[in-house]
Amino acid sequence: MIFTSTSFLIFFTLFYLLYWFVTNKNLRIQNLLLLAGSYFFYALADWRLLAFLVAVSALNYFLGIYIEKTENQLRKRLLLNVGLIQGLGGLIYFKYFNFFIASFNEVLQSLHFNVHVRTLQILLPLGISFFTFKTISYILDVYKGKIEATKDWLVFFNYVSFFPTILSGPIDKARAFVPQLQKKRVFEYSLAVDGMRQILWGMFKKVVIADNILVYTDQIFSNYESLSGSTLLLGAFLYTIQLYADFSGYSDMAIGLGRLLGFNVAKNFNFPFFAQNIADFWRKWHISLTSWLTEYVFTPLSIAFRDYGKLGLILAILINFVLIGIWHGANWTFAVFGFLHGCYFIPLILRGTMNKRKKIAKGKVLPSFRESLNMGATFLLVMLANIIFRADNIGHAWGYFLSILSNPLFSFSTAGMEGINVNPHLLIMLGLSIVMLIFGWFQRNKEHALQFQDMKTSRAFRWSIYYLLAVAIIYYQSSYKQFIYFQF
Amino acid sequence: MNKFIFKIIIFVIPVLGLYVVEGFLPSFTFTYRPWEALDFQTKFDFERTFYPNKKVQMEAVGQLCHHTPHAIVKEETWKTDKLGNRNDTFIQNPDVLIIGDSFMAGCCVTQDSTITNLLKSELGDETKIYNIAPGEFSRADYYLSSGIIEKPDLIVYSKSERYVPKSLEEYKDSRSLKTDLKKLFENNSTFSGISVFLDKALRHYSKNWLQARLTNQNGDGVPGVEGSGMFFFNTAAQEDDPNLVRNTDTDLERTKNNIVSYKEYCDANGIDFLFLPMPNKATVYYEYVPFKEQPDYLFKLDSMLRAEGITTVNTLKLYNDYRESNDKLLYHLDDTHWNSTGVYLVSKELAGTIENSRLLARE
Repeated sequence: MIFTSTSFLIFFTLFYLLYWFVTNKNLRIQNLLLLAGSYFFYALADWRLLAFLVAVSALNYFLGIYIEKTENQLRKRLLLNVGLIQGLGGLIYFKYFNFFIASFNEVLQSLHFNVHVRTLQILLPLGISFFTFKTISYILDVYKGKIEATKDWLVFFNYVSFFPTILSGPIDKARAFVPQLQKKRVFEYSLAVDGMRQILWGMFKKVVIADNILVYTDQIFSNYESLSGSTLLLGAFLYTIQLYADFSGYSDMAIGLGRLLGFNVAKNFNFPFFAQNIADFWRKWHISLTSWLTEYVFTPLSIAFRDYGKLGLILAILINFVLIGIWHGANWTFAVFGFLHGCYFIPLILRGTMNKRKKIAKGKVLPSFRESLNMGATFLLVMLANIIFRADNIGHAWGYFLSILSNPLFSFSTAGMEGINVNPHLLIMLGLSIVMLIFGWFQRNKEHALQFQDMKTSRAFRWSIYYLLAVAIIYYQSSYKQFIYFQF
Repeated sequence: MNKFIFKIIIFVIPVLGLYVVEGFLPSFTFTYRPWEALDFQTKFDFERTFYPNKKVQMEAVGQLCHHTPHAIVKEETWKTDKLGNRNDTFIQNPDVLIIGDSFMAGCCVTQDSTITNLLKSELGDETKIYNIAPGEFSRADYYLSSGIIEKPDLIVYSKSERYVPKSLEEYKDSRSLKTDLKKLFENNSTFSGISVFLDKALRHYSKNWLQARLTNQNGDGVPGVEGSGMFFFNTAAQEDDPNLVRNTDTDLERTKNNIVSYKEYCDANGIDFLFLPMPNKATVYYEYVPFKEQPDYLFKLDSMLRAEGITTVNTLKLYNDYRESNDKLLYHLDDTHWNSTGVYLVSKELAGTIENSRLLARE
């Protein structure tokens, strides 16, 4: 049941009415409904691993309480380790075990050992990467005394399994989200209206742009050997747009749904294509993941390596980004993708500009030439790295890069692949992608592109935009609906 | 909160209005033939293919070159029974049960010229014939196992030359809640009406029509040799279909094995079995494609099936023989399916085979 489906619309409408009209007087009952809704939502995606989600929630709930209660530092540490082992162990087992075995087998075979370790049939719990990071941050924060352990199991279980974010984030930190679950939610008109706008914008990005562009990126990445260099570059460009539209579209919908229920969910994207450099990009792309890793991995590492100066910082960045890469899945492509992004940081670290922040086109309508150049260069770097991200394996990515360089630049060879030819649909999609970027540009200082608060716009203008987006969604909805980030 | 809900309703009404209006429009409003007008597109079908208890009369054109000057308008009437199958009425205890694909369902022929009605004319009105096409053999097993239809004396199974029949998946759960619910929905006219309304409202035909017109879609047929006026089915669009026949020995073997398994199923249940292959238009009119020679897939299949003791009709030979002495077309120029002449010939031959093989021999 994904957000763009009719079944979700029916589910959420009923849930919403119960949430605000039946259970709103009693916080506990409202939280109980929220949990039931979240488990129902999760069970529809895959009921077989609901018990795992409940068990993880229960374990970390008790760990939090006992970590806080225990005075003995050694025991505290031991309890923390239990939580970390469960969290990281679960991730490693479910996501990476077969990958390690397969890689181990490949190494053995390359050394001419006739040994084959069997892989296991493992069912991957949906959203494991997201809810595991939530539980880990929770017990770490309790351990460090940053937050109090919640004594209300209903609050904690809801934090772990909140249905708008459980499958693909954003990854809320307990210190920001748990207090919202603990206090009575009051319906706020402006929050709800803004939530609806954000959902509409997210649906537009996902249904119209991401799902329609996918047809071209799939064809181009599958047939890269016989396509021209310019087509392959177009494929990389389109995939970058698709990935953004898909994931930020999902995030917008998740945040919007959270707002409809009275929650402020963590921001996940901040118009990343207007970033001035790669550090700026990662401050704007998948923010909840990068801020999580910055807090729990990069900062401790950079402190540990501080004696090594810039070299230590480079090492910390590389480790951090390789982790970001492999967080996406068990494939060497993700590790290389992360490593490459880490390498992109090296010039910034050496020049000492990694943490410099400057608002783009401040007080101006258009960016300066230099800013445009920076934006373009950053986009290009991201686009090239996304080839590795999208590729099935390293060989595929390498082949794609080589084909860009070695195939003729403009000689199209699209026999049997009509979709890749320049056609009205492709041009419309490119046009709509540009519209998405233009909207984003003018709204770059807002939470999302359709945020009209504090703006002098007429109602007719706003409603025309809403209806245009709705018509585009209805008109361009395609059969493909799965979100890219569900697999992570 | 009230203001918010009011605003949402105001926003949604025009959008929802589109769906509601479409739910009330005649089913054929945005279609060029009755098949799509009556075909369930959403999940509200409850094991039915077409909208139940409907009669549609419209000017239809073929699928291969619609919205082009080559399209040929023909008046078609379709009637469906309470199960959504194309029959004049529902028959619970048929003598003959017809299973098949779009040919057997009567795509491109009017109600009086369906194989069901023409075969009835040949065998006599006292013979009860029930047609569940389009559907694979598994559907028949579902009907029989769950008691929706009583055991017939004869099953006629037909398959187009283009596809390998699917293997039989026997229906085992005849007493489940799911089956009971399905039956409830199938038999209740209110549920049926609601499911049809929802399907019409949610199948987005107006949107599809608009998209198709804007992008100038006009069928994916391939024109035959100049002067023939014929269009042929373009198999390129279905290259990924694992059941598409590619004229290989494997396809022949798979087809034979599945048909033999159907025969065994019938034998085990005391039902006679007859196989009726339907040649591709491109096989019958091979010279207009043009092919150098006529594909012999069906001839090979015929020999293989006869060797297995399966009663079958050699439809391709029948059509070839007819073409030697007649100029009348057996298939529509603008469609891949047979016309009333093609159905008539087959129904006559089928009736003859049934009688000669004493398949419906009554005591």
